[in-house]
Amino acid sequence: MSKIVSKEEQYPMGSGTLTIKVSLGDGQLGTTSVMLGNTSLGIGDTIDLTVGQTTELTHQTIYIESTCRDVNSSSDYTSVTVTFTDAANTKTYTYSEQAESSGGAVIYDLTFHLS
Amino acid sequence: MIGKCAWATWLFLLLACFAKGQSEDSLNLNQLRPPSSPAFNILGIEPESVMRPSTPNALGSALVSSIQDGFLRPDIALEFAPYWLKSRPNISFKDYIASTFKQRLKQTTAISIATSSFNDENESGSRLGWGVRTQWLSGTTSSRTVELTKATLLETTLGTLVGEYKRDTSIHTPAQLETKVLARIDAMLDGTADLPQLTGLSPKEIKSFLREKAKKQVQMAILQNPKKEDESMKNYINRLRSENALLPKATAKSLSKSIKEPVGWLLQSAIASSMTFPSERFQFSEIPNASAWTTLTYRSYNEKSAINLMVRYTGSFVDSVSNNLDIGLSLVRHSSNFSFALEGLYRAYRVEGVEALDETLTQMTTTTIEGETYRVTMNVAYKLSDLITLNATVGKDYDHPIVVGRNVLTLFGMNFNLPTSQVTRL
Repeated sequence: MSKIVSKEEQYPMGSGTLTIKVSLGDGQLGTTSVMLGNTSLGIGDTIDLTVGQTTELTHQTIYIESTCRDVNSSSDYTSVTVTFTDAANTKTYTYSEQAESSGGAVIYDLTFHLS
Repeated sequence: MIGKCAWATWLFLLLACFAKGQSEDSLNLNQLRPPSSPAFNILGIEPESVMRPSTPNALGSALVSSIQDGFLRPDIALEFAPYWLKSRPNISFKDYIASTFKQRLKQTTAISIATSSFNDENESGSRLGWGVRTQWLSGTTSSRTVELTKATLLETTLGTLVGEYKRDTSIHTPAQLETKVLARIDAMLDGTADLPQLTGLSPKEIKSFLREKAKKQVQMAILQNPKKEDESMKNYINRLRSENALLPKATAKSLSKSIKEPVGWLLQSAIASSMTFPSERFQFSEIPNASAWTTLTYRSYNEKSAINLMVRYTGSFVDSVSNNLDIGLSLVRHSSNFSFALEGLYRAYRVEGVEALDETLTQMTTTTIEGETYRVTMNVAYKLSDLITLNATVGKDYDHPIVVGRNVLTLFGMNFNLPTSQVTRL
């Protein structure tokens, strides 16, 4: 059974175009999906995409789900780094959790309310 | 097949009749590799369980637990990699498997600590061993690692894809989930939905997986994991994708193991030393031995051949001082059923403080013995079936610097392997 890490955050948007980057750390392998409401924006092992204009995104929610597989024999740590960037600011969120065993997984269920 | 087995069994029995027993240790063909845990090697122990703390707190607890009533507890075996004691969010998978020189040293340095007790005729006490190993060159990823990386990414993507539906309020049953996921896969295949972006995988490879495996895996996962009556769809989807159904461990575990077996050039070093505490008193402590290993290995890209060159120093400093310098070369070749290994070790030795009779053969005197010797072994193994392997090892052992004895090595044996789970290569 994989661990599930659930987090909920507020992202105070600035102006301009909002972009999002998601990367996995600790030498682990995995994939991430990004959804804006019920719309899938992309699935991949690294995420670097444009969400849209901040003026059109107010009060919307971004769901990020990352599945990290423990393939690093030296560490059971897994981590996800999410970076939001717009014309006014850049904010980075980092989450970390240990997998239960080699070959196991940690699923990060992240919710960002855009305000 | 029966004929081949019968022939091999008769040959084995015939050889066994002529074989003289040798200890497994004296015929170990892995002597040219640096030990994975130098501290255990220097104490000559093979611990049943090894503590591998992965956080600073766990390391602290392990160190505290190794001391009891102010004395070292025997049979402690501890191994840890200082760099990995904390999370490293900036180290991607790519950084991990193809790191820079400086980064590689940090990632591969591991420390081992072990304790044991001794109790001989004259005294008793504790022994402490410590060791460090690291890799200067780590080779490159094998084709097997590349394939397993792709397979792990595809498996994980499928789970992530199914996870996207846990907020879809129009899904109330597993059948509806299956219909939606399969429709999404079809849309990816016909180009009306975006394919996942996976490093190292071409659209053709992703489509091949979606067409040939993904649909079946989703159907099987839903069929084998019925939804519980009081379970919400969100919880059902979380359960489905967090259990073995959509995230099988076997492929990721095989990948983890395969990463540790790269091809190309590897350069590894290790050092180790031990301390003894006779009567558990620090003021009586001694450093009885120390070792240092460096091994240069080349593993062929088809993973069937390997060459090892090893330089090893071992010193022993109790009673008499002995220093050994070993230079070894080994060749290993294996195919699906047959493996061959040839190992040669040259040893230059110097033993000081040896008591021997003087020239008149009437009085004992202290002398120094210096010399050279070598050891050559050849091992052949033939796999009769997945369960049975025949082994034969012959060779010449070192000549002992003082005692003249038998130096012929022979061992014939049969290994029985228990069946293990197979990983499906995608």
